[in-house]
Amino acid sequence: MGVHKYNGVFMEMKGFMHTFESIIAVIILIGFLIFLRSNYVSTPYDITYRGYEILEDLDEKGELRDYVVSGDWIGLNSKINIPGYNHSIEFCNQTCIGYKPDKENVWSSVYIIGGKDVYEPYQIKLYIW
Amino acid sequence: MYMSLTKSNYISGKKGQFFLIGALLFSMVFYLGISARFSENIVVRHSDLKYLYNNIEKEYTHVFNLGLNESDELEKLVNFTIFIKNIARERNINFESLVIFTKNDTEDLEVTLINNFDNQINITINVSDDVKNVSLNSGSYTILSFSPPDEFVMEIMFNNTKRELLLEKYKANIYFIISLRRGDDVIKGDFLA
Repeated sequence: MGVHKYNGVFMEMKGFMHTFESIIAVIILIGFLIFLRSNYVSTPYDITYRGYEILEDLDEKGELRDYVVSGDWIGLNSKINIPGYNHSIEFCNQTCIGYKPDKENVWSSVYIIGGKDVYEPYQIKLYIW
Repeated sequence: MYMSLTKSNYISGKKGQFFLIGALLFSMVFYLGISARFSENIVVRHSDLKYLYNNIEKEYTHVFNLGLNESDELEKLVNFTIFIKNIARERNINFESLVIFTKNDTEDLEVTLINNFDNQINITINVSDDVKNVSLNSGSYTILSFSPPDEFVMEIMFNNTKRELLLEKYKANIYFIISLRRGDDVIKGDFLA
């Protein structure tokens, strides 16, 4: 009789045990998958990279240096479009011409050229805010 | 006997649970052990150094060509190196370079070396088995003279770095090694044009 009762108790708990086992199995599986996930943490994409890419692209198209050697920072600035952001340009050698914003949280991208047809180094600064 | 059979059935009936608990314990030990070993996250940084590196690589060659046009390549390259170094410093980047260029105004080949590393370097130049060793201070340059055939191999050795370049005597060549460093971010490379 004791045996039947013993067996009876466990028969009633059989469903609970199956559920519990399933939960344990899922926990093990999820834990394993989390472990397999790469421990890579990626830093966010910075808008300054976009600035570099814009200036590099204009140089590859052969448009950048003409603006710089002629001092036409306004023309270069109007050539650039960054949706959602304001921007300004500065050309610097010994001194700088252009507009440097007096604001907080301004990103700046710098592109260097050695000149166009003669040696005349400049750094082109693209400010984005 | 009846009781023994029941106990035996009880144990065999519980085999699954025992396996599960064993697996759970094993996994916990495994994760703890592996986590302790590989606890450091690998940080993938997006860095602006690569943009500056590509920019400098392109412009060094361009400045060399502009200098050749004015027969003033040494001064232009030295001046440009200082220009880049100042810009890099403003952005907390340490810029170092070694520039080597060849040209011939006479029948001899001139090999010019410009050291922009922070330290003195000892460099060996081997042009068609003519070997010259120089010790170059930081921020200084030297000009070596060789008499190679029209096509030759120039071997460069310094700081455990060895390069073999196939060059032409009657063509101006520029080879440079660039290093950009900001904290743990480092980009190094070399280029021949």
